[in-house]
Amino acid sequence: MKKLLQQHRVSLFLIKALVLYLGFCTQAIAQQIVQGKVLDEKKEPLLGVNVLVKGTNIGTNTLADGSYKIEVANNSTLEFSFLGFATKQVSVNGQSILNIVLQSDNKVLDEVIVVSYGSQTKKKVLGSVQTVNNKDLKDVPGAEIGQKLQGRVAGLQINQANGRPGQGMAFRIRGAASLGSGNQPLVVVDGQPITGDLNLISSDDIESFSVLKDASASALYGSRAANGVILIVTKKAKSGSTNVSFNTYTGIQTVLDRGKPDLMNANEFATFQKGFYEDKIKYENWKYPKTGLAEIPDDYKNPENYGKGTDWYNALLRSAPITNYSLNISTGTEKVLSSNTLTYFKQEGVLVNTEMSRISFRSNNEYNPSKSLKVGFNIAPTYQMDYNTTAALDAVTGRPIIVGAEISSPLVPVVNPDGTYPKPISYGTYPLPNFYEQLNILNLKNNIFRMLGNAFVEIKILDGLKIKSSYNTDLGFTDSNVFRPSTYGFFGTPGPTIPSASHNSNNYVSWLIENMLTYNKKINSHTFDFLIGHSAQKYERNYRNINGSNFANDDIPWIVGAATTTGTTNKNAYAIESLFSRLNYDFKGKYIFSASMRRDGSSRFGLNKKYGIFPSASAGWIASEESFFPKSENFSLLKLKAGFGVTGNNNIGDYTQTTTLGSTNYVFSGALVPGLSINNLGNPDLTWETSKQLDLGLELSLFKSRISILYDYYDKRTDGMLYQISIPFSSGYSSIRYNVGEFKMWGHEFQINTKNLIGDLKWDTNLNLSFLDNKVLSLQDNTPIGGVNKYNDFNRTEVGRRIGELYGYVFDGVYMNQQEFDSQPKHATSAVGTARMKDINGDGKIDGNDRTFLGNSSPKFLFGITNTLSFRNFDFSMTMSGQTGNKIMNVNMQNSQNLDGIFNIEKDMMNRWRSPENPGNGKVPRTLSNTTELYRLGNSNWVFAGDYLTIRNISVGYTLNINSKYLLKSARIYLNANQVYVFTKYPGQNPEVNDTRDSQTTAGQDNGSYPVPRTISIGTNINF
Amino acid sequence: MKNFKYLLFTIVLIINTSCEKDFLELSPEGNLNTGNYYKNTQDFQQALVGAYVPLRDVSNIAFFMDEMRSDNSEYDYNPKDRGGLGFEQLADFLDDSQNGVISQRYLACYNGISRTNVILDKLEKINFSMTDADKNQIIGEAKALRAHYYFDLVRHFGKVPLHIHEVLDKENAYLPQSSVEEIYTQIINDFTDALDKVSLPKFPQGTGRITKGMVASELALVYMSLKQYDKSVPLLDSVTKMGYGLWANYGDAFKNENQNKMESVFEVQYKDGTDGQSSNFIYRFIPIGNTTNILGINYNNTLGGWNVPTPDLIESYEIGDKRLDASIGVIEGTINASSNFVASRIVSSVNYVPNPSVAYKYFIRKYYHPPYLLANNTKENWPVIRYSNVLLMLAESLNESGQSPVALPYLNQVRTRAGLANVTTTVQSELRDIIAKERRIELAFENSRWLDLVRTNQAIPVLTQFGIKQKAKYGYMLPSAYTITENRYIYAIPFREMTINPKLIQNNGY
Repeated sequence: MKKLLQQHRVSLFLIKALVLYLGFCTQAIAQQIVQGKVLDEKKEPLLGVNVLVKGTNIGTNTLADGSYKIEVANNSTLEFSFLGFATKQVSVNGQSILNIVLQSDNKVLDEVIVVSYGSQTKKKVLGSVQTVNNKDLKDVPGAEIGQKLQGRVAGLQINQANGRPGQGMAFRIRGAASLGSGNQPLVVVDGQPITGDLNLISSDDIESFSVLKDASASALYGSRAANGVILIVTKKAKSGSTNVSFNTYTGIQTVLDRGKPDLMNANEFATFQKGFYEDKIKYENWKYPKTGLAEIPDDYKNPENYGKGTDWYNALLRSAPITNYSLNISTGTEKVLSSNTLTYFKQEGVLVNTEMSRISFRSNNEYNPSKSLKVGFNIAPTYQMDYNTTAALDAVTGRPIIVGAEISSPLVPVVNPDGTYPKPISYGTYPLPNFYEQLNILNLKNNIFRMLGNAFVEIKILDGLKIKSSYNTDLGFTDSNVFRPSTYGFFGTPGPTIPSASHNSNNYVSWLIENMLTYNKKINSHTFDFLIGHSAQKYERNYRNINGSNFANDDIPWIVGAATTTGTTNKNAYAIESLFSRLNYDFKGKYIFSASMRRDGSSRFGLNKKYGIFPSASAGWIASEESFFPKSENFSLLKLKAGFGVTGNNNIGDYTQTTTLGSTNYVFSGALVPGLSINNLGNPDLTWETSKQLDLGLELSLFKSRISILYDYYDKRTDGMLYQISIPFSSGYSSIRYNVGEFKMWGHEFQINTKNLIGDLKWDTNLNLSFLDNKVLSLQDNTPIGGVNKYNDFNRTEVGRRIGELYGYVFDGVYMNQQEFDSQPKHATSAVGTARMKDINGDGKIDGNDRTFLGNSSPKFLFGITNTLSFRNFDFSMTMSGQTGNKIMNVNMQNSQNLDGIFNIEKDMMNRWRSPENPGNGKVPRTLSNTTELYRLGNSNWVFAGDYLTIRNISVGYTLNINSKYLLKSARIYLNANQVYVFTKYPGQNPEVNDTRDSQTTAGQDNGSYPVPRTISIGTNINF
Repeated sequence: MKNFKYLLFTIVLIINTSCEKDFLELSPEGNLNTGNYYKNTQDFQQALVGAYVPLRDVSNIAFFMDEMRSDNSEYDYNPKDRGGLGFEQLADFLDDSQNGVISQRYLACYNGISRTNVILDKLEKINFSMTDADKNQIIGEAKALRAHYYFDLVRHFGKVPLHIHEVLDKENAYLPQSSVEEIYTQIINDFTDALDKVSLPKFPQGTGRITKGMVASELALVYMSLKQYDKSVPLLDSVTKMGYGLWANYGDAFKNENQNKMESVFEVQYKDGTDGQSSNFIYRFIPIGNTTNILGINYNNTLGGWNVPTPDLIESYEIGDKRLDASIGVIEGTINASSNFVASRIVSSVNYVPNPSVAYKYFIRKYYHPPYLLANNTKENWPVIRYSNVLLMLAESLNESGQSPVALPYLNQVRTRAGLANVTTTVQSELRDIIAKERRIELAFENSRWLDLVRTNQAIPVLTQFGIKQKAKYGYMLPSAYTITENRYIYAIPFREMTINPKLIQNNGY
């Protein structure tokens, strides 16, 4: 062995990896041809059996006559696998002919999947659980796990709300909705419910995802499970093998032209503005202040002098690279299993000067010192650097930076010939900063360190009786610094401004101790599986912010340079203590029952409601196991199941049950005197919101398991919704948290997997369809929520309707002439030629009471389809997904249809009303001062169908098989296109947009967020 | 046996990691909560301080509703930023129930009322001993504040819900409106009780707290609003004996160094600095743009252009009235290529003759007291009641109660300081007009004008006339502007309140 080591002269750290190769290397590595036929029990030849050299990627498939031929090392082992048959391993041992008979096997469904607090064979799972293996997603480039899972799971709606690197994805399981407590599912990583951002977990660390959709699957997570649960299992080493793999991809992201705003070019804008001032002169006796005469401002006198001018939207965009490197080393022996992954990811944003990068490491180790003892240590630190990509970028004083840019004057260049940045202001336009300059000088760094760690010990006390004790921590530190130099301007104050800086940071620790006892027993035909556990979790977070202003100059970007500094520190915490238990029972593997119970106590709940109990029960019948069921390969599984459970949502804020006081200081005798007043009206009865969910399911397996169908119907009632209900100002408060209201959510889900072709050319299809809907059954005093304020209040939730429907005026054209104006209902500011909204309440005048429901913001149908093909060494996959039934309100049209002559606007605004003789197209009102506001309040013009079909991902790969005498075992290269194309009638950039993300009561708004790019990448997976 | 040891070990482990009883009892460490507060006199004193704070929330915006709606001030029309439309609509009588300013004022008043209700309710249940002096002061100031907030509400919104107890849960949050009479009764009761309890004003330097002077003066104004002059006269007369006086120069009354001194009956307190107590009125009242040549501070002001003195007001000053220079200034400047006004200097408004080559804008000089140290951060207080207002109220009350000759000395005390000749007429109707005009000038930009016009039922004739002039002058003004009816004497109940509380009835005309 020493000799060998010397011979190979490999560096020490590869020793482990090398051990495995010794077997190959010490022998004379003689290659030989092996051939033969593969038959089934009836001696029928089998087509498409996978023949693989064990431990490598070298393989082939049988032909129609069942024959195969492969070149292997003479000491190899061949593995024959085929769907519906037991896998068989045969040592070559120098034989050249190997004829194989495969035994049919219904154990396909014995695949083990991860469920709450354990794992189960798929066949016996009663809850609605769907598992996705990360290896099917590995080609998809992107910072976020959600980007990879899009379109893969029935009922799991993942939308890319914006294109900010690392921050765009929003999850919803089964249309989960709450009034104010969020829609996001609980994420559990290796048994540990995490508290921070899911995306800080590198997708290269992940082995699989299990999505727990119904309450019988998720109820063991009690008061946190109402929005569903996603269980993530990270990569573990497999016993008996050592693997080194290196994966990398690099790509380029670009924003497609579809969906870019169709605004005026320089010539059109100048023409519009010329007319704007002509009308001002004609109707308002306007004079050009520069000359005091009724004449057109210089900028717009000669529109023909301008060409296309500046396209500000495109000026901020660029093609941006994305790169990922990941190295995994895993090794497994009887005593030790160890897997280590190091990943580096970097993505530049498609908006200039934006970027994120992340370095992450995970080490999963398991030791089995004796047969009855198992000890594990896992640790996963991550460091992420966000540069100009945080939410602050998306909303520069209310409007996203890209929106600020697109409405800038096209008459002004991005950069002057001398390299200075001009202000994009023409005569009479809004004081906007040069947003290209802003992006380039913005320096907003957000650095996050996060570490997940856990240790466990599992002891087998008796046969079937195990105790597991685990200790978990999730800790993080976020540090965010921004400096705004004097050249940095804002919407309305383009600069120079007084330099300012701010610092925000927080650190949190969440620890979880969990003890579980499990007992499995089989007595004759009765199988029992019992679990009881206790867990305690505490989360504590300290946070602070410091603001500095009045910097003397732009030279010191840290707050130490500020003349004025203010800052605070504070803390929040919560604690949960729980007991949980589950019993699974089956009789002869065909009658299955399961019941579970969790009791959660939480510091978040009011004194009068500290503890909650969350039970579930389910039953299943595998009819195909019955003796009367015709035994047929074409109908191998029929399973019926029903489950019911209760779950909760505890996202109610940490101290909302407490009435607190805040400082309300005042001045007496010229000096500050401290004052205190109640700032939050507490509620001692406050508690979790409860979801009761019924799930009925059916599973079928047809045609030698080539078609499998899963169907689920669910009906979920969420009540006692936690909501900051608005109470009359006259109480002295604006809101109080209450458990109010009831929602109903229901739907049908289909998951259909087919193996269309087997053999050399393999073709699999995975299709998922979800039909879903919701209804508000009750609200506090049946008072609707939202749709109150004049501005920026575009949704209303009302009893009997869907949650968060879009709300506003119904646009009804313009008053074309005096006769129309005189005879029709008017707003206080109406005039001939102004916008006419429908008089919904029929009182003869137009005001805030004439707003109405403009569309449903939730989709009614979601679908996803993935086709995977492979032929010899080639593989291909394509995923598409989409949704229908929802409406989007493009609230950015309050800017792009502004008729005050202050922004660049949509081309269509040219067709405005100018006089009874020149009334335009009847859809665009006039520009008369003080009449334009109504047209830029939320109205039906802004509402569009949100239906879309997106080609999510196309991947083509080629695997090189490399002879095992080299260090390299196999290598695969692939070409990937992500977010390939979006088919939609929605005119905005992104039909998946949802500015408010996690709030269903304000869903469906598009304020013009960070564009979502297409990514073309090339990558490779190398196994050593 | 070995396995049994493991079991034992694990059980011990579980016991060790089991939680303390108070594991689930967490309270916000960064905030006090009601459970551990209101336990001693100091807690109540601090709660009382908190009840003063909404005074600021009101005075920060009140000028839109109380001055700009009148003929004293207007706004600088800003075609580039229509975000101020809601403010303009208040001036032009185009406001509706969704106006943000009215909603802010409504909330601020009720914030103050709720804070006083908390104090008054909790004080009844204390189980520690509090001295009578402390009790009187806390109850007195709390009741005076509550009455002050309700007086603000009833004058601007008419019928409103009358909360006189702390709201602890949502069940008690939804009250219907009480009648205007019921609200006035509550105001009078609270002020009357407060008058007995609060301290006399201190001279030469007051603190800014509520005093007998403030309570008596405001209660007198309540009675004047109800036309009960027999009740307002003695109250106002008592104030004249408390030690107040007028500064020799009108402008001195507003100087920062004279805050809470002899002419100040009540003012809302501010201070500059970074502790969040500053005001910024001057930024609201000067034109938008860079403030270097106006305030000496390099700051890009986007808040300005509001409450701009009208030529109508300037013309109404008598020749030689010293108050013109102190009240109104002129900012000269140029119009740049993008038609923005660029300020260059400040000049006096007295005998100002515009130069055709120089652009100019009027501004309120009363609240202009350089030098300034910080941007958008001033120590200017907001005057609620000055002693000259007391004198004019007394003159008006006497005149209205048929004692016109007795009224003259009080009126003339104010005129003399302004450098004007004494009024000698004792004809009640003539004197009524003279006092009204005197109030307009003396109290210009102190949020009196609109309420005075309403109180004396002059709003419709005066402002309809004024509106005709405005519409002729400004091409951007809609023909429907300045349509003034009695419905417009009060504002709309905010839209939000109407949506949430089905028991409310909207004011007529909204």
